[in-house]
Amino acid sequence: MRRILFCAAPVALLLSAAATLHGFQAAPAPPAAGQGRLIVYGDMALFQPPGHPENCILRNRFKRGEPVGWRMFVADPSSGKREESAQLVVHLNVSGRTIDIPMRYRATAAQPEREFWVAKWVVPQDTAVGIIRYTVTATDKYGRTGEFKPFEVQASQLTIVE
Amino acid sequence: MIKHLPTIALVAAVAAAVSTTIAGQAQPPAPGAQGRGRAAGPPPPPPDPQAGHPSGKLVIWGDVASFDVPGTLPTHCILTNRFKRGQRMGFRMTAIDGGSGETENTAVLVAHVKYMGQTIDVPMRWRGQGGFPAAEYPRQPSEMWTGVWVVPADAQPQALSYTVTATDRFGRTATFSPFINLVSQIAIVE
Repeated sequence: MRRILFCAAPVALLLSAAATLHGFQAAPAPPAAGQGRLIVYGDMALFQPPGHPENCILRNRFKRGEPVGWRMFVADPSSGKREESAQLVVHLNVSGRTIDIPMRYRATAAQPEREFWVAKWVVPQDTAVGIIRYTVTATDKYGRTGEFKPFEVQASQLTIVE
Repeated sequence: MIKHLPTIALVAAVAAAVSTTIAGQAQPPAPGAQGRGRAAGPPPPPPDPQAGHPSGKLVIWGDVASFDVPGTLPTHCILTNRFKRGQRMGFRMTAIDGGSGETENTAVLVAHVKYMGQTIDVPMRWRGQGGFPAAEYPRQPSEMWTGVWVVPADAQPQALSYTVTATDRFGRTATFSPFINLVSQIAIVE
């Protein structure tokens, strides 16, 4: 019996080590529900009315009077799935002041496939030409937050042009 | 000694199994400069895993832009989804380790463009090594991956679709699809 125990001990130790290493390297534990930071991402488009030939094309350069549109998605960090309880706000920095634009969840009973949030801002006539910085923040029912910043490439920033 | 041989053999077999299991999980290192761009050159060394990674899901996102060259062109890096023949269609993506919210720099990304019944794979290159013009990329290192597809000269005007897939060194995978609006899809125009 002692001999069996003597033999079994290193085997059990190695099996335990294998299980530990396997769990550590191959199957990352997801964050607990309600923990972690929301992942917020999306793009910018021209939000002309439906039927307009340029409605919803991707843009980052806008003239005064044109409707800037944001489309955003919020992912739960543990599942990668949409976090439907999220509330999003676009924060625009225009001439030194911040304009907050709440986003609206776009999916409806008639269009359930539109699983993203949208917001629109019509460029005021007195807006100076140049880059306008913005971020988008999100908060969900668990108190998690997330923030989107566009890629830091000058030419890709929201820009007001003549 | 002889009577211990079965035990030694068993221990050796388990040790070999453990070793094989670990080796089998290791992902090939992320290839470096696979894409095309101004900074293309010899591949940089594969990045080391970051502390705390992996955690949660691998999530990727991004957009498309005109990658017209030279960089001084007024259309360089502006967002668009409409491209003319010969124009450089640029894919810009990032990869996030969900649990930490940090860039997952071991991810290998490939854009897949559906064109004329074929799928064209566009390898993407991580731009996180820096070394790009500070005036153009104020926040460095960039968290971005880029890939380029040049619209063929004989392409007909049409809407295309694309996805981007990613795999990191921990074996996690992710797929990105753009928003579903038809007019926002990439398109070849006159």
